[in-house]
Amino acid sequence: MSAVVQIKNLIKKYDDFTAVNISSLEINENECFGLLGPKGSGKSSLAQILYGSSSLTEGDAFVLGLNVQDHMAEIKARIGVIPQELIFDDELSVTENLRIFAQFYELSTETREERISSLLRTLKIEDKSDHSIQSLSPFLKKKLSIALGLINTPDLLFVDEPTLELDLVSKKWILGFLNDLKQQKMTFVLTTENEAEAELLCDRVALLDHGKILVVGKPATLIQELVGKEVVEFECDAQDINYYIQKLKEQQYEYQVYQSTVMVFIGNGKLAKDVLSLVTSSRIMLRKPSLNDVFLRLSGSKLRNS
Amino acid sequence: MTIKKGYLKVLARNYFLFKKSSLSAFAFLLLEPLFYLLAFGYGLGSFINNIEGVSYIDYFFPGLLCATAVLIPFFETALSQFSKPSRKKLYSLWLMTPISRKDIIIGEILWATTKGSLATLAVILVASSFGLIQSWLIIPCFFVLILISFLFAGLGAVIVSFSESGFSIFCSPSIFILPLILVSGVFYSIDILALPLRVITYLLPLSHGTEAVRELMGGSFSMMFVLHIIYLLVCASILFQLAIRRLEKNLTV
Repeated sequence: MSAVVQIKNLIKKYDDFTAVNISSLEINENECFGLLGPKGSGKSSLAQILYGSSSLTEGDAFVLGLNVQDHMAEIKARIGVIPQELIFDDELSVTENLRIFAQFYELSTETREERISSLLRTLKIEDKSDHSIQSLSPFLKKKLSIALGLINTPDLLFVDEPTLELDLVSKKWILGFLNDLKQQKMTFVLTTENEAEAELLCDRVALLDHGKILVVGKPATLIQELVGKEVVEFECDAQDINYYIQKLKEQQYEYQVYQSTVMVFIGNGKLAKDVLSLVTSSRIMLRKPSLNDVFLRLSGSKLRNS
Repeated sequence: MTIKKGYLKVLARNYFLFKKSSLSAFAFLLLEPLFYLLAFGYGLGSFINNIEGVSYIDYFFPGLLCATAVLIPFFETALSQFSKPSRKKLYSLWLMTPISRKDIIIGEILWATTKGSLATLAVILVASSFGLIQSWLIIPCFFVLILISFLFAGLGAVIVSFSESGFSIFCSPSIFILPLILVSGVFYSIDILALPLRVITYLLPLSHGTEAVRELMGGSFSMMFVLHIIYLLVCASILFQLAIRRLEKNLTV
């Protein structure tokens, strides 16, 4: 497997603020790689440097073997971007948007028309081809945005928060579509603050916080190694927290306190029921661990305030 | 692979949209020079015996062509292209393709030039039906008008690049373009101006445009014509370079 993205000592600064500081990262071909982190963690800044919407301050980044600092036009010709924000040429119809965008990639007329009809078909928006942008729902706009990102049959696809602000049914459809792309061996970089999305789609993820990478690995392995097989989560009063922490420490449990919530990570050789019998709280639950717990464990904060 | 002549793609997109949606708006835009032609050329002109040896309408018409070549490209770049936030967002989408910032700026300036040229061509065609055009010299004149369009498309882009808010863009017609047209020999001969004003007028590019077009349409051809054209070329290329340099930094939001 060859690396489609290579990063060496990359630093991105906005005035005095360091948004990204990554010493090394490689993303492989045929891999779905997730950049997972809360807002302001630097994941979007990093993605923007890789797809050419922003420049780096120091260090090197290579995309498809080309240096982003002097071969960006060549890189852009071979990558696709599905940005978070839905931007279109509002005065043009759906097909016209695709056609004009395709011309920016220098596709031949034949390839272009073939590609447009195939994308309209697979995204199930054939019947919307001559509709105006204003008449489209957010879901259909997202589909058109995906079509624009795929118009040049990219070797590498950047997807930025694909399901933000969509309803549940639309979310499911979009994730299903991205999963299909993955099955077809598309290489992509997914930027997200949603751990469930990252677990579903990504072969590997990098967890980011304050511009730095906390850890890189397979979602299941990270969860297994850093959290365990189950999580007991309970809420209690401030005065009780110290009592419970004392108890958990004595019995050598891994745990994390977040505001008034205590999360106990049940690793190998430990049993969830022992913790359940220890705690008397009406708000207690036993659940599967997620990448959010991994993030919490490493950073002390949550991916999202929900 | 890098994109070749990406600015032509931007130009093609604008032309496509123009054909699709703005043709009727364009026809209305042409009413303005035609009203001027009727009001000043025929209306006011009927009170004036002749000016520099020709009837007022024949004197005014080259000036009107130049004014059209100033206004339409200038408003295209100054008002409708680079200044709108929605447009800036669209640029950020285009920049995800191999199209560069420079391609976008050049493409937009060339489009404004094209629109100005189409407008002057339309005025020429309408005027020829009034019998105002009797010479093939209108063809070289048209090239001069394209040059004027290019120059003022660049000026509009430069002015946008200097304006932080929309304020100065909306004021620029009254503080800049209208006085420019009034003193640059569109309506009357520059020779009647007081000497200091005449010097200033000759520093402004439009007076060279009106004199060049007027001279050419009158069938005379002097060293002055060549100097006018050189001056226009120099100004146009300075504004073009300046527009690219200044807009490359803040093209997107």
